[in-house]
Amino acid sequence: MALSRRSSRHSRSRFTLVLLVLTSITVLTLDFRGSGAVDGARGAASTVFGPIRDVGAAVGRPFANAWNGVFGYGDLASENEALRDRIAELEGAEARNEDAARQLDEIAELNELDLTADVPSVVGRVTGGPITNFEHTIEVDRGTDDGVQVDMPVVTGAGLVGRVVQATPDRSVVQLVTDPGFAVGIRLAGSGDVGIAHGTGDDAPLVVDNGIDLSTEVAEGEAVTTSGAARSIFPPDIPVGRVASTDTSADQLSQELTVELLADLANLSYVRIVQWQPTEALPPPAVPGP
Amino acid sequence: MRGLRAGMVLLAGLVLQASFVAQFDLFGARGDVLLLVPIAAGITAGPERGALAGFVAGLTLDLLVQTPFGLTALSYCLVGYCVGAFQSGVLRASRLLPVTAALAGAALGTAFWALAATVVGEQGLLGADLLRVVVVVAVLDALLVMPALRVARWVEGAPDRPMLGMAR
Repeated sequence: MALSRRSSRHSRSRFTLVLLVLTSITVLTLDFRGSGAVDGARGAASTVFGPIRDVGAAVGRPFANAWNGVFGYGDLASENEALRDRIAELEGAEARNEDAARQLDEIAELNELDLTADVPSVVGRVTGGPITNFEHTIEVDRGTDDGVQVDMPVVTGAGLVGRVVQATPDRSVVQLVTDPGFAVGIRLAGSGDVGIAHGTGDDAPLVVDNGIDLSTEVAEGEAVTTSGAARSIFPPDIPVGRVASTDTSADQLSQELTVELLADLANLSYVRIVQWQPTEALPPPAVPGP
Repeated sequence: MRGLRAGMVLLAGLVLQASFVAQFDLFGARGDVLLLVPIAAGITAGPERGALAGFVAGLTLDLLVQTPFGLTALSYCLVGYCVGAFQSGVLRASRLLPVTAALAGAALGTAFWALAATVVGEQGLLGADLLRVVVVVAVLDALLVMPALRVARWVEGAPDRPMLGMAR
C-alpha cells in the first residue's frame, strides 16, 4: 500500500516535471519566433520591478563598492598608473585634434556632409548592471518618453558602448558591445577596410574575423570606428577601439584582429543614447536600358 | 497563505539578486541566490514542489533579463526536481547533505543553462569563464543553503518538520 502511494507520488512528480519542461520549451519557442507578448511582458516587468530594484541598488551600492575596491585594489593601482600615462598622451594630442576638427568642419561644410556630431542624443544615468552571469547589459534611466527607441546606439565620450534592446517609457536596457551576440560593422582608420566586429565577453577585446583583407597592412594601435554601412543601426565614425593584435583568421581568407575598447564598460555612470535612425534601404541598382 | 509567503520570498530573492548580489564581483563572476529557491524547495518539500518553485522563480527572472525567455525556468525546474529527488532518495542522511545537494544542484544548473543556451544559439558561453562562474555560484549557494532552508520551511508553514530524507 505504502509502496503504491510512493509510486503514485513519483509518477505525479514526473508528470509535473514533463509539463513544466514542455511549458518552458513552448515559451522559449515563442521568444525565438519574436512574439510580441514576450516583449510586452518583459516591458511590464521592467516598469514594475525597476523602481524596486533602484531602491535596493542604492542601499547595496556602498557595500558593493567597498567590496570591489578592497578585492580589486591591485587592478585599480595598475589601472591608475595606465590612466596617468594616457592623460599625458591625450594632452599632447589635444592640440592636434583641435586643428583636425576645425579642418573637418570646413570640409564638411564645403561638401554639405551630415556628421554624427549633429545627431540629437540624450544623456542617461546607468541605474543597474547585469543581473546574472550570462547577461551583458546595463539599465539606463531614459526611455521612450525621452525619445529612446530600440536599436539606438549608446556611447560615452570615449566610444561605442552598445545598443538599446528594450525601451519602456522611463528606462531602457542596453546590450553591451562585449556581448558575444553583439556585432557591429567597423572601419579601420588607416586603410579604410571594413569588417564585422563582435564581442567575446566581459573585459575581453572585440574580435574582427571577417572583412579585413590579408594584404591590408594593419598597425597595432590603429583606430577602429563604426563603418556606418547602409542600413546599419550605427552611424559612421563612432570610435570603437584600437587594434591590439593581428592574426590570420581560421578560414585563412582574412585577417583576425583583436580590438581593445576605448569605452570603459566596467565603470559606466552616464551614457549618451544617440537618437539615430538607420538610413533607408538603398535603392535598387539601375537597370541599363535597352 | 503559503502562496503569499512564497510570493514574498520570491520578490525578496529577486531584489536581493538584482540589487545586491549582482553588484559584487566574486573572482570575476556573480552569485545566483535565486537558484536557492528551487534547491531549498526541493530539499524541503520534494521534487514536485522543487520543480514548480524553480519554474516560477526562473520564469520571473527570465522577465527581467535579456537572455532567451524560458531558459532559466527550464534549468531551475530541473534543478528543483533533481535536488528534491536526490534528497528524498537518500535513506541515511547527514547535516551535510543539503550543502552537498546545493553545491551539486547549483553547479549542474548553471552548467546546464550555459549548455542549453549554446544549443539555442547563444554564443561565447562555453569558454574558460564558465568554470569560474560554476564554482562561484555553487560555493555561494552551498554557503547560503542553511538559511535558505529555514526560509523554505517558513514558506511551507512547518518550521519543525523534518526535511525529506533527513535523519534527525
